[in-house]
Amino acid sequence: MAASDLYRAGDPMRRVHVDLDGIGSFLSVPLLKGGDCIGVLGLARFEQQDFSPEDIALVEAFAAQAVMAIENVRQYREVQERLAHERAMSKVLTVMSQLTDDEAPVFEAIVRNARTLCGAEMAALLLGRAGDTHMRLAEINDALPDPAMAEAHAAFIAQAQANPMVMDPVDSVAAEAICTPRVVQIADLKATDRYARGVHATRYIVDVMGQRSTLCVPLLGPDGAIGAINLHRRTVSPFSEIDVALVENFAAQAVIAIENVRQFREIQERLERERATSEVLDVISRSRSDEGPVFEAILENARALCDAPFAGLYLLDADRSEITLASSLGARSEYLRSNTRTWPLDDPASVGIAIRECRVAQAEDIRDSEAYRSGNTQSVEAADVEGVRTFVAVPLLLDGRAIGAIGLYRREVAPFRSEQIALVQSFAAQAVIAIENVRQFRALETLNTELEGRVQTQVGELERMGRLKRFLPSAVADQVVGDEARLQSHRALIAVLFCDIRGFTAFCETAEPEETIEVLQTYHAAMGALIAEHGAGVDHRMGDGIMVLMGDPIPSDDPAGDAARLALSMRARM
Amino acid sequence: MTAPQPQDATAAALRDVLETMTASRADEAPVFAVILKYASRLCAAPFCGLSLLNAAGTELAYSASHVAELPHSKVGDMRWAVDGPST
Repeated sequence: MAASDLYRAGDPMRRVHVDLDGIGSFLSVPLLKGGDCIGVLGLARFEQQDFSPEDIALVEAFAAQAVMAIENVRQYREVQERLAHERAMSKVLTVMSQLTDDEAPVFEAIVRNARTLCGAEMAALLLGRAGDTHMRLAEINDALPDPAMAEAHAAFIAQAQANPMVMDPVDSVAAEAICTPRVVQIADLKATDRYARGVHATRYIVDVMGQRSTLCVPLLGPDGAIGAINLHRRTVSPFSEIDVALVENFAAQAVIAIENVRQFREIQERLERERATSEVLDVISRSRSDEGPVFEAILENARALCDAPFAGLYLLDADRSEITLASSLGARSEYLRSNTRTWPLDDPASVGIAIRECRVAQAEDIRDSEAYRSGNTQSVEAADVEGVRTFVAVPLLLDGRAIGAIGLYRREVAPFRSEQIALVQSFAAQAVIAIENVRQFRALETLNTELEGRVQTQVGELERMGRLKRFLPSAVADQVVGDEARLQSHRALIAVLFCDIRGFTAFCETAEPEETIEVLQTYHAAMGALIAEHGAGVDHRMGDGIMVLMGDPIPSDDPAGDAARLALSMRARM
Repeated sequence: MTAPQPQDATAAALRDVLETMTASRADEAPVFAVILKYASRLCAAPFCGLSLLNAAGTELAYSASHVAELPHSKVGDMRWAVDGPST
């Protein structure tokens, strides 16, 4: 060693070995793995004595064994790591299979396992899409050794949860992973441009939390990233490919969990809507004569399913000039008291627009509306007294025209989602059915009342007719029933006909009573028919005597002629 | 030059290393210790050390030694660049 060029050239390490450690001879044998050198086996003697070829061969054999040992341990650790990953995955899957309406426990299991398995100190799951303005911190997990640091970190988390992080791919690692969308690996956060520029979150993570290496993996859904998993290490030790693959697996599971929960909630919502619809239909079928209960059922369900504190049903009057709040739920009493409940059709707020233009009208914030700014009383009172912010009005459409509207509002700026609006539209259709039902029911009721009156009058006439016909020829009875004034005393030109059977008294004296009755009945039936045929008026009968008035109450132009013609018919008949 | 090592001693050493490797699946350190012990003994070299290249392949780190711990070259302390001049 002392004779080597390096020693003579004054190489510091060589000088240490020779001058301080006292080494005479040195042998270095490379550890070769697939042609690459991965290390060195070195032997030293204090005396100057070369190593023999047998020594070298032996050390080469030991070097090969050392490589084998290193490779064995690497494989063993890889298998152990994979087993640990699989155990963690199966734990997450178990959590996922148990809970369908809440992602939180799955997120917790994912973030905790990702952090532990990757040997990271801090891990977080953030949600947000490329087009969003902000990200939401959904879960965080850390293993901070220092309680003071943990306390500072808790304050940081509280702040992150209260103030959503801006989706800025330039400043934020998570936003970069979401927007690109690809895995972001940073060997040392402290060496980044973000740190140099003094980005607050980066400075905080490096300077306060002492974190250096960072890995951020996007949660890839079918339409791009929907969030990211973020891991930090306290040392500068980049995450391995195995770590990345593991976190990618966790990210895929998080996406599945989110999708599962979304589908579960969607089904729950659909069931809830179906229940509401069938409830309203049930009320409609039970409430044929009054819209009130139907309106109440509709408004109650609309309010609950659309997360709105207020729901109101507005109707347009028959002249199509005025809108009235017909029914409402959830308004503050002072608001209801302070307002007139009637608006002109040309009102500039959402309900007016929905009815005039037959379309859904949503004001995301009525304080931003033209009506509010221009000082429209209704809008100003709604905003300032009632606290209305987002308002949606859905028209009640009948034959292509609006007959009213359903209105919902929220006391914060939170626009109604399209499926909520679709639900209100189906409620609006039901309200129209209810209104139409009741209108038809009332029309039918009126018709029935009228018919009943008419039938009673007719029944009365029929009864009187029946009575009159017992005493009068039917033509006369018809005349009298139709025009009862004829029965009052009056003057008229009439002719009177007298008729009896010649020698009837003598016949009666000799005939049996039954024979007399039979003759009289036959005689009166035949004469009665003739009298009716000739349109004669009242006749009076006593025994075989008949007196007939011609010309009253049935008017005649020639009563005497009619009487003569009747007399001739009677004689001919006899 | 040292005398040739008896074949049975060499074979026994290599066998011992293999047995240690089997027994210590999760850790290279005991295997390294056995290798260095035999290398030192069989090659009559009081100092025997093992250095490994880092993951980036840029630096050697002195990771195991046997017998005479050199007073000025300690495990863990010593690392040197691969492209540097020293051995």
